Amino acid sequence: MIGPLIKGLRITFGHLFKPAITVKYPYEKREVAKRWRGRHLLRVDEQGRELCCYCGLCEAVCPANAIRIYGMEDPTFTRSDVGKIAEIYEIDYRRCIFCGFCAEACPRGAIVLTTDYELAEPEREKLLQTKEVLLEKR
Amino acid sequence: MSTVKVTIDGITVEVSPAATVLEAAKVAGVDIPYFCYHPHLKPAGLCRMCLVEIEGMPKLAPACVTQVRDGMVVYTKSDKVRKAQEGVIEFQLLHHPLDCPICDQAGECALQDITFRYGKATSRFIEEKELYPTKFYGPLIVHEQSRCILCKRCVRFSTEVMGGADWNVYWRAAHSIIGAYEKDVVANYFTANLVEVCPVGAITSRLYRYKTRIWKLEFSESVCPNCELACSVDLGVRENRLYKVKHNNPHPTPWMCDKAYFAFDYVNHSERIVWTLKREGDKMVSVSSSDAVSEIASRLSEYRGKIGFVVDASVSFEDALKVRALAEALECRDCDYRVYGEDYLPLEGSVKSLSDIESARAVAVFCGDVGISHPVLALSMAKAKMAGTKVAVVSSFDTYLGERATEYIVPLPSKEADCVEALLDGSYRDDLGVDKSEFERVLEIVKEAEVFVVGTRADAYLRNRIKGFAEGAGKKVLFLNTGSNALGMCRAGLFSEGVGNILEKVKAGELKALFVFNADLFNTYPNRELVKEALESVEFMVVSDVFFTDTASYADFFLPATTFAEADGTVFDLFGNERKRKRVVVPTEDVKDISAWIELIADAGEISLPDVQEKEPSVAVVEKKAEPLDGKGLEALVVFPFYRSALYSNWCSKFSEVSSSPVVHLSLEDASRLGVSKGDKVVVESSGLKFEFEAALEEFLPEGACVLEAGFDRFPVTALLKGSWLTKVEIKKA
Ligand code: SF4
Ligand code: SF4
Ligand code: SF4
Ligand code: SF4
Ligand code: FES
Repeated sequence: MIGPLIKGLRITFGHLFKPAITVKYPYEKREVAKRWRGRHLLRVDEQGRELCCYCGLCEAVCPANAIRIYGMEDPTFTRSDVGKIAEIYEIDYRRCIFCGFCAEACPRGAIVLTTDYELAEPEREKLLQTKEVLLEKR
Repeated sequence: MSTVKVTIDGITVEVSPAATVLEAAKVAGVDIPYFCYHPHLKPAGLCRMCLVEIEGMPKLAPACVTQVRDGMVVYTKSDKVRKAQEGVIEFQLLHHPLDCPICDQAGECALQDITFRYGKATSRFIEEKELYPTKFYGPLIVHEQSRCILCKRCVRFSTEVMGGADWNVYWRAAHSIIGAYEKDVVANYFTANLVEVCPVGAITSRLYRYKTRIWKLEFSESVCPNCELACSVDLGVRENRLYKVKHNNPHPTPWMCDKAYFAFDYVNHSERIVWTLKREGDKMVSVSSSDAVSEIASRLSEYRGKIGFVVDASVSFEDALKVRALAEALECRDCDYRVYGEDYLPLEGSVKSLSDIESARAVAVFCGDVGISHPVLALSMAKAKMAGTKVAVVSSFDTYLGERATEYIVPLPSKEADCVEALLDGSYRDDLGVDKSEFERVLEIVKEAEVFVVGTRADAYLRNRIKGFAEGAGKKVLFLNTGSNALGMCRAGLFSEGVGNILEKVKAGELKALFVFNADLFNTYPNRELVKEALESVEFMVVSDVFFTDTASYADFFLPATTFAEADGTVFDLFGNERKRKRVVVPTEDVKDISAWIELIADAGEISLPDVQEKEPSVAVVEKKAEPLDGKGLEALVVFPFYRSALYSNWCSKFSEVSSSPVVHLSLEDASRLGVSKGDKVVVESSGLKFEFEAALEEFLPEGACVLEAGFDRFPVTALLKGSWLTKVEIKKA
């Protein structure tokens, strides 16, 4: 009867003197793996022009239907080197499952997943993130 | 007809001896890849993608140009064929930029699909690819030579179907490029087909360019709302917005015109009024639709028997019936659809399909610009002409068919009808002012003609005259009407003595209230002063339209209306067939079709709508109108140019951009007398009104006539008119 109790308490007290495995988030942050799949980033080239040319492949491959894009012409080639850019680029973090397929599908390396995992927002609607947020230039 | 047996990949089929191996393979259900073959163009054998192995032939043969023989045995999947296919694709891709991520054709591109299925994944070509600059041919299309595979489908469309040689191949061999020679704008009413026939993304539409991807669009079949041919179109919608209109069904012809392809973006226009508006003093304020409906209903009883109804001929048959039901419930007889001031109703003319025209030995076309009013009909006549049909055109102004006709008379606008009558009488008269030998040549064709096509300018008298003549002579006639559902309007009984009569009655105070559906009378009725006086004197007016037009600015209530893509409906095409419009876009709550508005009004006013039946038009015998054309100067015919002739063209961005400013067409003689050359600004003056036009010189126009373009935003040319589209003006160089 008393045997199991003592056994249990020994484990409990034993842990009191071992170092903690949790960290004091948000004061302390953990290193994550280099290939961590967190918040997306829309990349730009050295001249600040958007790489995304709205080919629509990430939108098509996304298993969660989280991406929504509309394109437009960039006749002066100031925002893109191919004359075509995404007018609207939205990722819905209410849907995204961080599979990374979008990054894999992108022929121009325009969309990548970063190690930023702090995605919480005070309102659900804010989880729908637009190009302004996703673009590297911001 | 005898048939021959062909075996393709082990499947034996019987086909006509005139068929090609490719057509036989289609019958057998065997897939042969091709680029340059097009079911409605002559085979060219250019791309070599369709190579097949035929027993007994030492070399591979192109299936699209090889005719079948009895007992022929064809292999399409042998190693030899596979190797050839891989080789052809490798060649096609040598200089191809492979920029599918940017290209608008990706997803519906033959090169992409065929490479994926038949090509190799790697290329041995490591040299630098040749790149060509992108060329924008005006607001409608863009040509990217780098992507072109030189299949010449576009060139064959231009030369075989459209009949103009300016879109062609320039330079030779590896340096060949496709395009229009020394021309910066290509807008020939049928530009859309260049985009549609191009199997790759070399010719693309600037309206659709880069907006979305083809696989995001959901297509549903509907009909084009712009003319009576009611071509079958596929409407491509994404997220409840219309992005693309495509022709996908060879009905009535395999081709379409620019109105359908480029003039639909008004549906998404930001200036559309999608709220119900009510007049308060000088201002229109937004009200809830239920308030508006009950207020309208409460005013109606006051005007029982004194209401006029004007409806544009593009609305659906169901809507027209509802308008008539409301009119009958309110004991009103004055309802009409002829907003262009026409005096005629659709006449039955015994032509039952386009093939009647295409198979005729000779066709005569009278009084109209078929290229503008019924584009695809003009195209099919131009094509028939190239196949040997004789086409005679009698018209004062014809921008498309005229140049392509076998024989052509250009009378003065005031003599146009007389000229046709003289042809029917078979005798030349000096006062017609046309060349006698020309007249004789046209007369030959008119005598021989199996079909008469009567254009929209012919009035009721002439129509009856032609009908009588044709019945006597055993010829078929096709009567063309303005508006895409004139036949439906007429069947719904939505006609009285004409819109002009309604306006006169309003002006005289006989009618006190007016309902106007989808029509901007200031733009369409050829007497602006009458419209203005009528609308100023009307006590109560309800306008239902898509945009807040000049007419709407006189309204007491404005009810937002649906467009062709937002409501189901039936229309009747030129040949009397029933065609269905489909609702593919769901409009916002306040936007309703005419039927819905009328039902709401009837409910609110406790008006019971009677069940109205179709009405047979009474064909009245009309006297010849003999209004002398008075005034000084040149005879001026006012017309809507093609790029202003589609519904709401002023709100179609790329389409309206093609004709950016109104043009006056002058004959060479008048131009040299006035010292005007092409592109000069000229002032057109009549009864104290002045308009500034840009001059264009027209070889075909007779001396003493000019043509003014109407339909431009904030350019009220209809002010020059007094009930007919013909007037006299004085022209000066600005
Ligand atoms: S990570 Fe996966 S789920 Fe998230 S947007 Fe990309 S493809 Fe879609
Ligand atoms: S796959 Fe890349 S280039 Fe294509 S739309 Fe997505 S982010 Fe843009
Ligand atoms: S532009 Fe298109 S249709 Fe014309 S030749 Fe080139 S690939 Fe063929
Ligand atoms: S011919 Fe008439 S119905 Fe056909 S696409 Fe053109 S406007 Fe529309
Ligand atoms: S399809 Fe036969 S050669 Fe092009």
